[in-house]
Amino acid sequence: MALCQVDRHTMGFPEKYDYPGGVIIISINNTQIITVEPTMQQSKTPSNLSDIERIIESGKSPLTTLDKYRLRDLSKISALDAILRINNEELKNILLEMYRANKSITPEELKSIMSYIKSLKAQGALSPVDEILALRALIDMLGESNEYYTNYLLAEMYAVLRELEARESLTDFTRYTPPLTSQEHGGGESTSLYPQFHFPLPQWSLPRLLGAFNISMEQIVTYLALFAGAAGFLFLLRVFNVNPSVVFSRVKHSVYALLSKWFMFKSTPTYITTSDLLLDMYWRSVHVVEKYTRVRLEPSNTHREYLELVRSKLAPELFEIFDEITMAYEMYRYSGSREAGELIPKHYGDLVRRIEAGINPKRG
Amino acid sequence: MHKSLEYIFKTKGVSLSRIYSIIKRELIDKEILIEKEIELKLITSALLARGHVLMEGVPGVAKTYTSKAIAGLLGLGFKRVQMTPDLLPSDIIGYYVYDQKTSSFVLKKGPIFTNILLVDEINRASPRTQSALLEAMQERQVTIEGEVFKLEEPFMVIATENPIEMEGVFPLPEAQLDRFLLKIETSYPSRPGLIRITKKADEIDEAIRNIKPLITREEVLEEVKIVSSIYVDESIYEYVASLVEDTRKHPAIKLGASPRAAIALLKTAKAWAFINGRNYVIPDDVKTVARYVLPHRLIIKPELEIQGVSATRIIEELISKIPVPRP
Repeated sequence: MALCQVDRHTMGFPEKYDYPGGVIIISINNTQIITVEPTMQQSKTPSNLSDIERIIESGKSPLTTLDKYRLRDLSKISALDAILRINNEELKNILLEMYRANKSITPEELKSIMSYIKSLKAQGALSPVDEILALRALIDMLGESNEYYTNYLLAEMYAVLRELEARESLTDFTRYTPPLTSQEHGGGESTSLYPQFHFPLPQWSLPRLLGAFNISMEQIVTYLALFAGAAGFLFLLRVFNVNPSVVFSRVKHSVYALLSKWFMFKSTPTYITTSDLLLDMYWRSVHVVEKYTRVRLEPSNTHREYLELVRSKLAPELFEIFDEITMAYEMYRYSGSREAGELIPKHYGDLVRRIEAGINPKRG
Repeated sequence: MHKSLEYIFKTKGVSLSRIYSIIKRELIDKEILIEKEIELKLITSALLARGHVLMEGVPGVAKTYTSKAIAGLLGLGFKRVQMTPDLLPSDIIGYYVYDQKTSSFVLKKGPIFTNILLVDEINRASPRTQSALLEAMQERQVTIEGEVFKLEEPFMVIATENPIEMEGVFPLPEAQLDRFLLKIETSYPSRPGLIRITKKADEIDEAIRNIKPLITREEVLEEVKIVSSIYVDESIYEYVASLVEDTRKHPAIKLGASPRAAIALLKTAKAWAFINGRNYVIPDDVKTVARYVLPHRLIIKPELEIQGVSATRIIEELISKIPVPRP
């Protein structure tokens, strides 16, 4: 065990903290973290499960509502109940097997299962709630006679809760560091400005580091593969002396044209429906023009106003067709001229044919 | 394509009104009135819709010139009255005088007995004289000494007023404003327009004095008849109703548009459609003429009027919000 003198007046000097499982020394600037194995002699650990339950239910607990729900009635539930609440399937199955095999477990079995739990924890595969539930199940499975190991498991549960609490304070610390006041700076309680670490900080392994950035190993591999693919593609373009911007532009236009065609021909008018087929043709043409020009026909816009709105957005030949459609619609709709109405399908067909023929409907 | 349709498509936008075509050719194309196309279209619409026009504008924006020019082209009776505070109703309507030769009272008809009456600076006349015009404008008849005299058709009052004068003017009461089919606010010309006007000032003056009537009374009456038979779709009636009703619901308006306003809106829309080459009304006609038919019929809440809220702005707002007929 590494020990050094505690100096609370010098910032950055290693400090000593009590830990239920023993003593830890932690460097304040986080350049080196020295942890110690918890000893089995604890002085401040809760003496029974009710104490743990009180901590969980207290307002200061960093647990979420869902976590608290999963840990409800911790002192009263049976080992089986606790096992069934565990989310980690692998751990749940192992504990279930042990539970079914024999009612009380031996110290050797406890040691092996504890080392398994610690390995899961080190991989980041075990949530604190699952860990507490597993420890709770083990307490029941030990039997009442083995007080020494029961206290050990209670201390472990307590350590999990303190770890959670410390994680919260660490997050706060990284967000905001309060400035020193003159009194605090010169006074003896200067260390109170910094988060108080009452627990061994987790070992910084790669999975944990990735977890901090919310990235999994699979994602990293995918990104690397994509990067390699893109780099390879660019290399090939370079080898064959092709301008990348030309390729990207062609791909962009092809995708745009495909999507436009799909939207235009597959989708139906969204807001105007009518049983009159001739009027319906007009609204279909409006829909087509809307999709291409991205100029929306507002409810207060008349057909002529819309025609004016799209005038500058359509190529002259397409505008001419749409103009004819609009005028035919107007005469059919407002003067009842059937002859004019019968022109709408012809012009609509013309509009669609021209677009399908690949005429760029947009001016310029 | 059907022959009639082919004609309509080819002549799209060309006026069906011979009266307006002549007015356009003689006054706009020959640049006798510069940048006054909309005013001339509206005055012609009012004539064909059997309505009266109030032209409001600051002095010197050709209100009187426009009225005189349009009246000059129409081969109709035309008289002009310059309103003053001491003008009496009998000066406009007429009165009986004793004729010593015949030893009887003889009717001396006032200037109202004409087809086109230009009432210049209407807000300078006393309310009593202004109200003398009411019966004539609405009923198209006048009563002198208890005797009713019908006015000859067509009859149109073109009144002008100056919005900025405060001394010696009598603002028109709401009842009288409602009698005007349209209120046209004449504004300043654009810079190029102003340059053209100043270059041709003498020429314009000479041309207006020498305008010869090119339109006969019968032609006017014929077109008035055609306009009244312009087709209006059921959905247009609905649109007009919602526009008029919404003026009453608007939070800034103390008094909204009346049913008379709705009738006026529809009549003007019909005339506007005819002038623009159509024998049917479209929502665009209603939208366009609403800007001239409705604002002078609305009363804005005084507290908002002080803040600069105008009736024209409210009408613009309503037009841009109310959905047009669909599908």
